[in-house]
Parts: sequence; C-alpha cells; structure tokens
Amino acid sequence: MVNKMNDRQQLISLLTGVQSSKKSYYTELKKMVIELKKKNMQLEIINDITKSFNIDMSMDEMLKNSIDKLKTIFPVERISLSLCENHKLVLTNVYPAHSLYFPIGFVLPKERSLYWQVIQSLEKIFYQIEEDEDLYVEVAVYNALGIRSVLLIPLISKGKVIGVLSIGSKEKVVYDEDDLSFFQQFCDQLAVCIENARLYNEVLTSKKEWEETFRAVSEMIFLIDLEGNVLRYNDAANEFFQGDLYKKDICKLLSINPKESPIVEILETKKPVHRRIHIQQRVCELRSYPVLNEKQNMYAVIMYLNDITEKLQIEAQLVQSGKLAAIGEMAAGIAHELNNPLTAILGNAQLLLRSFSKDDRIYKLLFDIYSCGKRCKTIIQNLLTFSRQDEYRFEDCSINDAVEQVLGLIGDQICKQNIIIQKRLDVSIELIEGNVQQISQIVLNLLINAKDALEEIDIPEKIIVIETKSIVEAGEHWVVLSVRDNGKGIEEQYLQEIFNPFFTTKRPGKGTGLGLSVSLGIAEAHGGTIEVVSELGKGSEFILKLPKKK
Amino acid sequence: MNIHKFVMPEVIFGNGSIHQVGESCLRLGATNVLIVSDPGVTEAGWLDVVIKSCRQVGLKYTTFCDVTINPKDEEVKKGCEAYLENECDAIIGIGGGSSIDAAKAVAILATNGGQIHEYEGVDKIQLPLPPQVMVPTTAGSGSEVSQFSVIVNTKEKKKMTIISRSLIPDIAIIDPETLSTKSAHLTASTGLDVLTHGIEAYVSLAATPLTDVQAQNAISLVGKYLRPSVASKINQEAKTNMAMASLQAGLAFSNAILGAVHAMSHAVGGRYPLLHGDINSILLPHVMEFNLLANPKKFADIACFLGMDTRGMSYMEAGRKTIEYVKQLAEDIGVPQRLSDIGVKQEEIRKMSLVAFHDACMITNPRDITVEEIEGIFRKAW
Ligand SMILES: Nc1ncnc2c1ncn2[C@@H]1O[C@H](COP(=O)(O)OP(=O)(O)OP(=O)(O)O)[C@@H](O)[C@H]1O
Ligand SMILES: [Fe+2]
Ligand SMILES: [Mg+2]
Repeated sequence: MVNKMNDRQQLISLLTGVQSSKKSYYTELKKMVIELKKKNMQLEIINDITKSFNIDMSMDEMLKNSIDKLKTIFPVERISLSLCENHKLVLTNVYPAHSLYFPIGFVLPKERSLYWQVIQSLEKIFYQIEEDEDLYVEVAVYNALGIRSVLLIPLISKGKVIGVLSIGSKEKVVYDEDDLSFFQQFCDQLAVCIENARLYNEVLTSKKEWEETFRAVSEMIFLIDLEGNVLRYNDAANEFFQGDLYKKDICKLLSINPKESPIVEILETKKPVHRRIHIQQRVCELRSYPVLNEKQNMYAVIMYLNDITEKLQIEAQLVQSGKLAAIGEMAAGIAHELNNPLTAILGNAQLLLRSFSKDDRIYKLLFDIYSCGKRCKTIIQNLLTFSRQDEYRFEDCSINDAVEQVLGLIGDQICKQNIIIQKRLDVSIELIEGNVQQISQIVLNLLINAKDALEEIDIPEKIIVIETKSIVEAGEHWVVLSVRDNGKGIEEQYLQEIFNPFFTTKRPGKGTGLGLSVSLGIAEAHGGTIEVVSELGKGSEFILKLPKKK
Repeated sequence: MNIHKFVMPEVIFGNGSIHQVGESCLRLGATNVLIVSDPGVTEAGWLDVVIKSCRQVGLKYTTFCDVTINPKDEEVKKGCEAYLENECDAIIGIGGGSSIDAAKAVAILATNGGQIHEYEGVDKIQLPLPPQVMVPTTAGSGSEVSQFSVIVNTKEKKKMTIISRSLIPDIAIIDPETLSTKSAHLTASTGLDVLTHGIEAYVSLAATPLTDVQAQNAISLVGKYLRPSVASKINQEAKTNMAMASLQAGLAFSNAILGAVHAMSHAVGGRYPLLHGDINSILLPHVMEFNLLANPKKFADIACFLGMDTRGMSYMEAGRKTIEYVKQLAEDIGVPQRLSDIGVKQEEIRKMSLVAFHDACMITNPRDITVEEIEGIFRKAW
C-alpha cells in the first residue's frame, strides 16, 4: 500500500513536471557545438597520425601529439604502447615519460596480464581499477600512478595483431559507442603507421647496409650516367682522386681519350668493358657494366677501378727473378763446363810462355791466348757471382761494387757498339745496407736501357756516364748512382708511365716493359727511389737514390 | 507535495490581439512559419487574419488546414511533411484544441523525427521544438497554455496523451473576439469543458496554491458568464470573461493535471467523433458524485466560487449542492445529458473503462478508482 502511494506520488510529480524543464535550443546548440568540436578534434588526431608518419616523426612525438589532442576531448592522462616482438609483448613507449613504471623494453608476462588478454581475444577491454585488487600485473602500475580506468585496444594491421595501446585516465570515465569507435579508428590508423614505420625502417636499414658495403669496397666504384657524368662513387674513389667527383666527366677524370670512352663502347656493344689504364703513375684495371632498368633499358654504367700497380710490380718481380734464376742456372752450368777447358788452356799457355823469350813473335801470340783466356775466366767468375740467386740477404755493401760487377759483365759488349762509358765513381762512397745482387740488377737495367736509347739513333759520339756520389738532402745522407745517356730521350707524356710494369716502347721480343718497374720495386725495398730527367732527342738521366748505411 | 512548479507561456490577452501573431513569430526568430488550422476556422475567416498578419511583417508561410476534430496521427505526419518540405522554422496553431494539439504534435516530429506514438507518455521528447505561437478560437481546451497534446492513434483507436514541458507554447495569443463566431452549442460545450478543467484541477491531487487561484477564478467566471455567453454571440463582456476563464482554467489544469472526467472522456473521444465538451458535460456530475468523498471541503469551496450561500451546511451538503448546480447549468445551456443521447454504445463501456483506467489523467484523480467503478460511472451516465 505504502509502495503504491509512493508510486502515485512519483507519477504525479512526473505529470506536473517538477523534475523536467522545457528543452532549450541554446543547450542543444551547445551540445552540438561540443559534439562537433569533439568530432573535429578526433578527425584532427587521426589526420595527425597519418601525417606524422610522412614527416618521419618519432613514435614518442607521435604519442605526445595525440595525447595532447586527446586531452582536449577525453580525460586521458597516460598512453602506453606495447608491441609484439617475436612472440613477446614488449613495452615500447609511454607518454608522458614520468608515468613510467615498468622500464621501456619490459617484457610483459603472459600470466595474469590484461594486455595479453587483449592480444589473445583481439577485443577492446575497458577496465575500471579497484583500489585493493591485484588480479592483473598491470593493475599495480595503474594503482601506483593513480590511474582509475583504462581502455585497452588491440593494434591490428592487415589482420595481424601487432600490439596493444593502453589509454589511462585518472577518473572513472564512461565511453559511449561513438567514443569507442573513435578509439578503434585511432588505433587502426596507429597500427598502420607503426607497421609502415617498421617497413620503412627495414628498407632504410637494408639500403644503409648496401650503401655501407658500396662505400667500404676497396675497389673504386662509380655510377655514371650515359653522358659520362659521375652520379655516385665510393670512399675508395674519393680517396684516390681527392675532392668532389659528383657530375665530373669520367673521361677527364681518368685521362681517357673521349673517343675511347668506355661509356660509349658500352652504349654501342651493350656488353661489359675491361681495360687496363694508366693514371697518375698507377696502373688500374677498369671494368664497366651496363645498369638496366626493369624494361631492360640501360640508364647508367657501373664502373670498377682497381689499382693493380702493386700487384703488377710483385708479378713483374716474380717474372724477372724467375727469368734471372733460369739464366743464372744456365750460366752457372756453362761457366762450370767452360772452367775446366779454360783452366787447361791457361795452364798450357803459361807453360808454353816460359819456353819463349819475350821478344819472340810466338810469345806475343801465346800471351794473347793467355790474357784472353784470363778475361774469359773473369767473365765466367762474374757470371757465377751474379747468378747466385739464393741469397737476398742485406749486408753492408758499396754501390761501386755493383757498378763494377755489371760493367764486368756487359761493359765490353756496350763498348763494341761504339758507345763510350765514362765511369766517375766516388771512391770514398758511403756504404749502403742492401743486397749487391739486387742493386746490380738495377744498374744492369739502367745500363741496358741507356744502351738501347743510344742504339736507335745516329750521332757521332754516343756516351753513357755512370756516376756515383754521396749527397745530403733534407738532413738525410744518400748514396746516388746516376746513369746518363745522350740517346733519344723520352717523350714527356710517357714520363709518368715508364715505371709502370709492362710499359714499353720497344718492339715485341726486345722489351717486356718490366725493367724500370722491377728496378723501382728494388729501390723502394731499400728505402730509396729512382728519379728520371729526360729531354726528347737530347738524352735521359736515371738517378738511383739509396739511404746510406746507418 | 511540498515542492511544486508552475509553468506557463508568454500570454497576450485582449481584443484584437490576434493581429499580433505575425510579429510574435518574428520576435521568436521565425522566417517561414507553418500555420496549422482546420476547415471551420478557415471558414470563419480567422486563418486569413493570421496570414495577413504574417504578410504584414514579411514572414513567409505555409498553411496546413487538414486537421479534423480529435486530430489523428496521420494528419500530424502530413503536417510535419509540409513543415519539412517548405523548410519552415516556426509553427502557428490557430483554432480549437484540435488545431493546437495537432500543431504541437507537428512541432515534435519536425525536430525529433520518428512517429508521433513514440512520444506518448511523460517526458519522451529529447530535442527542443521549433518556436510555437498558439491562437485559440474556442475558449475551452486550454491547450494554448498547457504541456499536453492529445492525438488519436488510428490503429489502436485511442487517444494518446503526450506530456512534456517542451509542449508549452512560446506565446499564447488569446483574443476574445475570435469567440464571436462560435455557435451557441459550441459555446456551451466548450464552456462546460472550461468548468470541468477548473473543477478537476481544483480537486486534483497535484493542486497547489498557485493552481488553486487560477481554478477558483475560472470557476467563478464560468458561473457568471457562461449562460450569457451561450445566449448571445455579441455579448463582449461575456465573451471576454469566458476567454479569461478558459485561460485560467487552462493554467490551472496544465499545472495541476485533471481527473477521472478527462480520463473517461478521452476513452470515449478515441472511439466517437464527438465534441470533447459534450462528453465532459455528461460525465462531470457523475464523477463529482464519486469523488465528493475524497475531498468534501474542496467541493464545498466550489459552491462558494459559484456564488451559492453554503452557510450552515456541512462540507458534504455544500458539495452535493455544487453537483446539483453543475447539472442545472448543463440543463440551462442545453448540452446533452446522457451518453446514449450522443450515440455511445453500451457494449463498448467495458472496453472504454479499461482505456480510461490507464489514462494519465486518472493519476491525479482525488479518489482511488477501479475499472469496475469507472464502468459503474459510465453506466450511470449512459
Ligand atoms: N735511357 C732511356 N732513354 C730513352 N727511353 C728510355 C730509357 N730508359 C727507359 N726508357 C723508356 O722506358 C721504357 C721502359 O723501360 P723498361 O726498362 O721498364 O722496359 P724496356 O726496356 O722497354 O723492356 P725490358 O723489360 O727489357 O727492360 C722503355 O721502353 C723506353 O721507352
Ligand atoms: Fe478538456
Ligand atoms: Mg729495359
């Protein structure tokens, strides 16, 4: 009965409208404006996320931006992002930073985890936190931070769950359908962005890796457009040529005659080009390949340049020492074979000499036999010494000895060609530390080159001057050997190249182009150099400088 | 009830006030009004007056005059279509209770959408309604000041009562001159409706001192001026006072709600196209007899308001005198006395009783009532 009474009272107050008022357009308008503002802000947030990926904003900045905007329409105090990495759920970002509880990189356990529940169910969870509960691991965080309600949303990209976003509020909020669908949209967009950012980074990393590989290769690499301009180049190229090579003409750079441009050749043949070229006293191996686009059209050329000077020098040395070893071996054999008959000839001649008086005509003839035999023996002796290839030991030696040895070997031969050898040896020359055999080899090469240079021309007086002396340069003591001829001289354009292995102007069979290259190699091994001064038609001077013995 | 509330629209009262309708709309920010009316009012020329007033202030307008007596849900729907199609932004209702109730219902649908039956009951309206200016021409329904709109549900054959604060018009313009075109019968019928409003509001469970004043005034005025008003179309004094009575009774019942007479009358009106006042005048004395027990003092008060000398009488005696007075008045002005006279079928009494039992107006009836008791009253009045 009492209840009925109350019912009736309630009905009456309803009827008379004590609790209701006429609806006003002002409040309605206000509601609508707020609603519109909210919708606008929501759009702006979604828009921002999409944009921020493009301008390469970091995830932290993106979250900060979003939360600042979210705050104007929802009571949001904290956002945290956890992402799936190899079947683990890892806390990756928290904003604001001071609301950190677990450290970034914390791996969320699967048991009693709200986040995991979201990942597994793929459903949003709205959770109100009660003060004295600890059902889930995350609740401790929220209690510590004073968060009273959280909205957890799975981030799903292309049907795959990639993480969870947690939106925390310090009050017990209520979200309606519209709000939830906005948050879902927000998260969908976020998921796409995170996924994009990940892919973008992957591409970037692999691109970087390639670039670093490209840069680190010790061969020079150029990417060249079809006009022959350098588009890209690696560190090795930069180091070799020094300076900015971008848009430089490759032919000029490599001192190649534009008519022989490898780019032109590739354009014509569409096939790789291999060449050996000489740049700045270096020998380089050049390989160019066409670069094709998807339609198989060539749009650029990739060029490798490999400085093979050192390699060639070593090769040349090997070749020459091989050659010498063979000659040496043969010479030793011959010398040995000749030694016995010569001993017999000399012995017999000596015996016969005693039987004749010095005025006798026969004595003169016999003495000729004897002295020629003696000379033969000396030559053989020299040959044997020179061909002793086994010991390349460094020891104190005189550069004069090397000269004498070589002259003993080929001096007469040169003189026979109407060439005068003027020997100006400094008798008090300083000793050097080195191998006399090797130094002799240099002298031999220089002498032969001088002889060759004189052979080809017709002048009244062919002279080779061999000079040794000690000098002091920049506080260093040097021993200098100079071989000067008044032969044909060297064309200026070749001056850079004559020390390159296999560079020769001589006809095949005569020169191999190894002499100077090997000589320079030996000089450098002794801590010295070979310099050249030459004038075409006037003659050349080769100067070997070696440091004096310490 | 310790806490109460009294609401009413802006009211403009007086001869010739109808000409202010256009300007009133303008004041509310209207630019294009829908005028809801019925053929009778149109014929009497009042619609033209309203149109002229709108034209004068440069208001665009659209008319919707297809409202019938006891307005139907379908008419409301059509009215709403007219409102939306013509991009109206305010509503004028001119005519009797039917036109004004219909205008209010159109206003509901115009901004809230949906079907009118969705708003049946208390406080179902969510969004504000367009500005409404109401011009009553019958002095009876009180709808121009009330928070009620009664619309017939054609499918279920019943009157739906919609109650909401938002249904209180923004401006009510009461021009006694409009009453001059009413027939004697219509004057009598609406006059008794006014009396019913006064009495039911006065004895209502929701009555407050504020409504009591209005009810008392309305009852006295009816006692003095209904007879002369029925007697003459041109008795200005009687018309003006009846218009005031109608307004005050409207204010009273709009805030104190009604009782069993209206609950039962709605049940009858849902089935028969009868004048609301006619049905009320038949039921009023029978319901008063039933209710007397609930509040003899208040019924005795009414005798005083009607100018009777009740000295030496008990409240019950004075109350009975009031009932006799009402019966006499009805007889004097020639309104129907029995339900059977106006064509109500006896077989339908049971069904109508059930409907009346659930009518919202029954809630404030001073005496508890059962379906059987309602049936008993119906039979007495048949
Ligand atoms: N004294 C010189 N005068 C003129 N040209 C010289 C002289 N010495 C060297 N050259 C030039 O330098 C080139 C390279 O000399 P190098 O000794 O390296 O090779 P080569 O003499 O041609 O062959 P080989 O391997 O038999 O010595 C020669 O072909 C010659 O053109
Ligand atoms: Fe009424
Ligand atoms: Mg040579």
